Amino acid sequence: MIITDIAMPELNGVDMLLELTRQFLYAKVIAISGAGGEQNVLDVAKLLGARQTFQKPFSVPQLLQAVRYELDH
Amino acid sequence: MTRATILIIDDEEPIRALLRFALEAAGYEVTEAANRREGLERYRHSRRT
Repeated sequence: MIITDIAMPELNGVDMLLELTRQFLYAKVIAISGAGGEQNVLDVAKLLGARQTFQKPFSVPQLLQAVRYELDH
Repeated sequence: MTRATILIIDDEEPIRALLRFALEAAGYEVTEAANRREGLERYRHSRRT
């Protein structure tokens, strides 16, 4: 499983997500974006195969719950 | 039962540290990367082992 920030300044996180899902077809990805109205980025992440998405600041218990759920399914 | 390994890719060190702490406390194996290149390399490596 991979938990990745997709809004890092020095690179295009959407490109990264594409690369991850293309190379590792069965990788389970949880995408996180920076704070500040980047819901669109997260929507795109879902379309590209992210199982779940979170926006910073995210709740650690909620993220752990998501990890547990995705590893079980 | 083998523990699941989770790769964290984030350029912010405090976020990586927070996630590592929470995930390890929950019993998962954690690896970190600060960027895409490193992340992809680590993921490839983790799948070989």
